Amino acid sequence: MMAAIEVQDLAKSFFDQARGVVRAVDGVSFSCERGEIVGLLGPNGAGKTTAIRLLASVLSPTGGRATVAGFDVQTQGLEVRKHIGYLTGGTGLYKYMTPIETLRFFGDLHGVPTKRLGERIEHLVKIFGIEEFQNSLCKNLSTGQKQRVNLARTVVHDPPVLILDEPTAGLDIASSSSILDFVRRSKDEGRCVLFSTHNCSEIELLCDRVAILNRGKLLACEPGHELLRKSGHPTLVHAVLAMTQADEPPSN
Amino acid sequence: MNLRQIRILISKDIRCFLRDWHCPVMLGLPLLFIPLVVLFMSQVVSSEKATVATATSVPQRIRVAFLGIEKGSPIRKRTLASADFEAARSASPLEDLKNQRVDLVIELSADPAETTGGVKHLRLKVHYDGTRAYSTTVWDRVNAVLWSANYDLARERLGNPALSEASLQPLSWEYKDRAAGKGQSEILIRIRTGVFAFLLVVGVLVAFSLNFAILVDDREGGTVETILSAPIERVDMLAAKAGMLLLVATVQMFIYGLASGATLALVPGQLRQLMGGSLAPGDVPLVFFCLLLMALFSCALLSVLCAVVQSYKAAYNLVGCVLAAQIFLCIPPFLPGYSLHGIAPWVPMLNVTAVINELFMGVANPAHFAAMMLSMLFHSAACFFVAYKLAATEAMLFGGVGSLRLALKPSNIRPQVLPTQSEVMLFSAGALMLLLYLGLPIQVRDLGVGLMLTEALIFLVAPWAFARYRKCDLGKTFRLILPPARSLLPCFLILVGTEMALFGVLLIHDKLLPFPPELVKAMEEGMRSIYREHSLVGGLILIAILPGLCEEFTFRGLVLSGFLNGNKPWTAIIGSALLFALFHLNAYRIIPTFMIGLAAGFAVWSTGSIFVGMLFHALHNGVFSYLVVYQTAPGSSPAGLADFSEVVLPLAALGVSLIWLGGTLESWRRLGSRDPPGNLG
Repeated sequence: MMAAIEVQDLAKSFFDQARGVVRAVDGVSFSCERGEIVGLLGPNGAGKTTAIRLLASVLSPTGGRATVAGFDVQTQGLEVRKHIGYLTGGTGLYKYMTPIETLRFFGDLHGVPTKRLGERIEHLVKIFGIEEFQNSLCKNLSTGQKQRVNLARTVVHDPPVLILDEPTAGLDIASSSSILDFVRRSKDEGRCVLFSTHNCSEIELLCDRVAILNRGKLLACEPGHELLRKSGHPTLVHAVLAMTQADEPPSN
Repeated sequence: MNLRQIRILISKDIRCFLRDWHCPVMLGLPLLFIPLVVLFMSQVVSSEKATVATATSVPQRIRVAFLGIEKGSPIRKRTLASADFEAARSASPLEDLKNQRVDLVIELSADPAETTGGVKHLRLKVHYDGTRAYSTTVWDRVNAVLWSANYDLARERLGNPALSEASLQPLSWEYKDRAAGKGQSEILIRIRTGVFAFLLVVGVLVAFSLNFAILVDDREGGTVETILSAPIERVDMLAAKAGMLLLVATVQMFIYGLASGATLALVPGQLRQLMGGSLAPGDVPLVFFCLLLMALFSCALLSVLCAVVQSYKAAYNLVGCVLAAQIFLCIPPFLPGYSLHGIAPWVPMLNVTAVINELFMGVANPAHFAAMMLSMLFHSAACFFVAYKLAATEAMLFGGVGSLRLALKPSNIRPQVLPTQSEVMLFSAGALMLLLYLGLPIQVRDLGVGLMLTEALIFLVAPWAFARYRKCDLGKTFRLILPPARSLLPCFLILVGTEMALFGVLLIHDKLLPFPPELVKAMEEGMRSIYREHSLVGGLILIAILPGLCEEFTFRGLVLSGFLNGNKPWTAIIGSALLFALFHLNAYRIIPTFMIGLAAGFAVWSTGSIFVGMLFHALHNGVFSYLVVYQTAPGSSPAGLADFSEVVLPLAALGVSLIWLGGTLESWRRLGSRDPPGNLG
């Protein structure tokens, strides 16, 4: 059976006048099965967000190949986007729409039938605790409330693959915790989750495997305990730091 | 495009738009604005005590009477030679003007000659009826006749037919309003009769601008990436935004229409006639059609800017500037001397306001209306097409990837020998915008000054500054070297042959796509006026030397070098010639200018020297304009060309032979030299 996310030698280069050709993602290969959470770790500028955008078919790769839910990200972008739930820490909500209207809007865009969409929205409103503010305009919601609405929006069409880019960035402990609970539940429901974060404790808590990116290259993609064993470091933070520092080019 | 997705996005935008508190203010704006305009106008009218109850428009054929001008006078002959005028027999012309038996009275003042500092002056008075609506077209006709009769009349009055033009001050004339009983500037007349049309146009543009602000908030809220991760194409997203903009603009326009209609229905009859000028009820839909085209063009502009600058907010700021510029462009049609002839159809906003002005004056001209409509549709379609192409690029969403801002930063630019093709295209687009929105409006006002500024700033300073900014090798980019002697003969043959062949091409062109007499007349009159105002030497500098120097600097310098950088020579020469033809902004001149561009391009590429192209261009312009101005009767070029077919065709055949001979010589020359000096490709 094909993996939910299959990445082979994926590359994305772009030209920058100051730096010349920049390889934001450089020959990355890994896979992610259904019912599995893979965490993406790496310093700023490592290429995590670019890799995630490539998998969401928001950007086009300049090399390699990737399939998501069995669809090629380059040639079947629309199909890919139908089968993923994509969330970034920076995504916003329409300030003059209510949470219910937001969910209905994205459900319509994904072509969810009206009756099923109504049931799905009812279900999501309950599990994300949106009832109390479901008819308020989004501009009046707190950051945590907005992110809950965003998560509900991400899964309104019940996608088999979730791609989450720093979903807990800027959230308080309670809001972060509810999002982590949701990610765990998604795994239990058989979804494949690609989870990018800077927070190593979240990775240790949630992920089955950890993919470490640095300067566009994949340094490792293994279970957390394997990484610790191989590196000989006591924590994931130390292991990741050691790996990325070893990968840095020698300074002048 | 997926219409279902576009519909869903537009529905979302409508919901968000209606909930924004700015929305009722923006939509309700005309309900305040229009009555306020009427209130102020009513105060102005009552203070002037003007009689406007009898306001009617002047017929297409103008009845003109003369005062103090003898039969056989040049001004009388020239006026009556035009089909637009007919002589009115009148014993007391001013009385007949009052009774509307004549439309205009042209009077030569009792003191015809006076001298100030050795320069002779003459003065004419044109009497008109201030209670009647004179159209832009009428004033243009009067101006044209007076202008053309200027020097003939001066010579006649001063009794010295041999008097040189240089010793005469151009004739000045004034307009006298019969109703007000005093001299009144033409500007006031036009503004008063067109004030409502003008305010309507400006009000609608301001409303578009304010409403667009509400709709451009997406990216800043971080929602664009969310939408793009849904099963939707970028183009659908852009189309939905453009559709919503158009919808809002249309609604806004109809609210303006309703407010205007209701106000006009309620105000007293005199004021209504003053505000509406001579607008026929049947023309009202045409006015709104014009406004709809303005809405379409504004949306197209915003769409392309949205796609280019990667941020709707920044796009809005830019489009705000463009709309402000358009408001300024709305003013000239209400001023004297504005004409729709020739080049103006390429400036969309000028034309739409001019046509609205004509509709309000009750002198709608179907040809003007058609030209305006085509111009607006063409510009809108071009903008939407560019936006459609740009929308497919990733740069629309991610400023950091291939960022235009980064690319334009001087510290990020590396020195290069020649500009790239994309840089040249970018420059050309910018230069075309400058020409359309800055150069042409100035030329419409003052042809001589406009030509000088356009040539010097857009075609000389701008390419030089651009090449310097992009750190190109200026000597190689602009080919600032003398041509090698051995390449001069083939070049000379090709250039002379092209000139001869051009006669044949023009003959065929005139048979297949006849040059409109109006256009020929406007071109001839433009050239004549330049020679008249600036003397022969000044005229040659403006028409021949300056274009030869500056346009070659752009098209055979920067543009050709950019196209040669990565293309085969002929592709580059054809590309630069096409751009050269396009920049002349005249459908009837595309083929001749393309031929000139081809020949000059080949000569410059072959010799490696820009000076060959400059010389050829300047000679062509100089000889052509001299022939038109000094060797032909006004408006006779097309017919004259056809009459000389026995001469022209053999001449053209000889020209083709010379081109062939020059080409052969050139190929022999290059056989002996593997690396011709000009071939940088």
